[in-house]
Amino acid sequence: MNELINYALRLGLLCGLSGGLLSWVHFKTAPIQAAREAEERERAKQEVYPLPHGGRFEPGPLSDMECWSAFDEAEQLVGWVFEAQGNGYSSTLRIMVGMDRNGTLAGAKVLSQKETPGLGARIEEVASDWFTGRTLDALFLSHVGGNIDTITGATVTSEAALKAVRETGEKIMDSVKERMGS
Amino acid sequence: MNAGEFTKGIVRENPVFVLALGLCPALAVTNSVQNAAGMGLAASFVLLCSNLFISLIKGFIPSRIRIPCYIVVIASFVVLVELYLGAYQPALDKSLGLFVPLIVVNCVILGRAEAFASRKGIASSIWDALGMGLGFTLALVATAVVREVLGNGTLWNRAILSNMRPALIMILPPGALLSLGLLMAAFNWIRERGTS
Repeated sequence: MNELINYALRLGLLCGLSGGLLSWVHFKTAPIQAAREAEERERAKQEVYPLPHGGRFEPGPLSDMECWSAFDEAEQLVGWVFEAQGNGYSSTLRIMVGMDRNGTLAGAKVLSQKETPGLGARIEEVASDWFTGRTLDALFLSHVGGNIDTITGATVTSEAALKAVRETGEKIMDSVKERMGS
Repeated sequence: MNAGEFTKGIVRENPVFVLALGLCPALAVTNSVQNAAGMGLAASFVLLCSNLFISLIKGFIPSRIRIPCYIVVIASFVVLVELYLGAYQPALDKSLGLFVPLIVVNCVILGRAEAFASRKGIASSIWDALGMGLGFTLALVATAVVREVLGNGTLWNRAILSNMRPALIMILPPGALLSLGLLMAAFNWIRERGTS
């Protein structure tokens, strides 16, 4: 019995020390990590929807997803930036997309993905070409009547990326139309 | 004597090629030299800290609960590395991702704690950790050089084989088994010829 208490105390002391040290380090590093992530996001927004000096992003129009409204220097709403998420072949694709008020895409950047290297992972290289300048209703692969070439060997990834951007973009357009209609 | 503690981890008792420990990261993150070096350094750091600390407190740890104690020590240093990468090395953090927390169960580290640091003095444990860490890192980098050059046509993200199509299989899981197996065979062939 005494032996057991002895063991528990020693292990407990070790765990306590470890917990204390780690919470202190976490306390120190968490703000740095959060600031870095926020800055990265800000840079990605500017990359997919370049705004002139004086323009700014504001959260909205939807509150249940990552999206922002883009305003130019004259405080005019010019478009939106949103994060589309889709299930790829082996990971969740997160794509940041900029879109103007007519539904034409201004730019796109893959934020994170863990698809097969050399196949689905090539979505990172093609995303900008695929989306920039196209409208939402043109986001279809060539084998279903669109004019976007599938990434060779990565049909699932290609379809998932297009579907995610198309549906998320439409969701934003719908919500905006609804608001204007009412 | 210390020189022997240091060098044995590099060739004679190389953790990956000879002891066949820590094969999970050796297979998983060797698809690029940068990842392999990052993983090697992260694991070496944890190994050094845990060897040092366990050797320091070996009198305090009752032998019957030594494994949970080792795991607590190792896990603490791993989380330290994870927090550091998250805050200061975002690119490495992104590509190593899941494999950093898995250093906790890297058998090289637990193995050295059990077989070495819990029995030897602090100085020897540090040398042992440095040698084993270096051996582990070198083995990972060697595997990654083969895989990245053949599978992606690059070395440390710089294109070197521009006039041929890379063999994709080498950066996929089968390529990991192929290159690690062949390197291990070659390493041991040379090692045994050297000793006989």
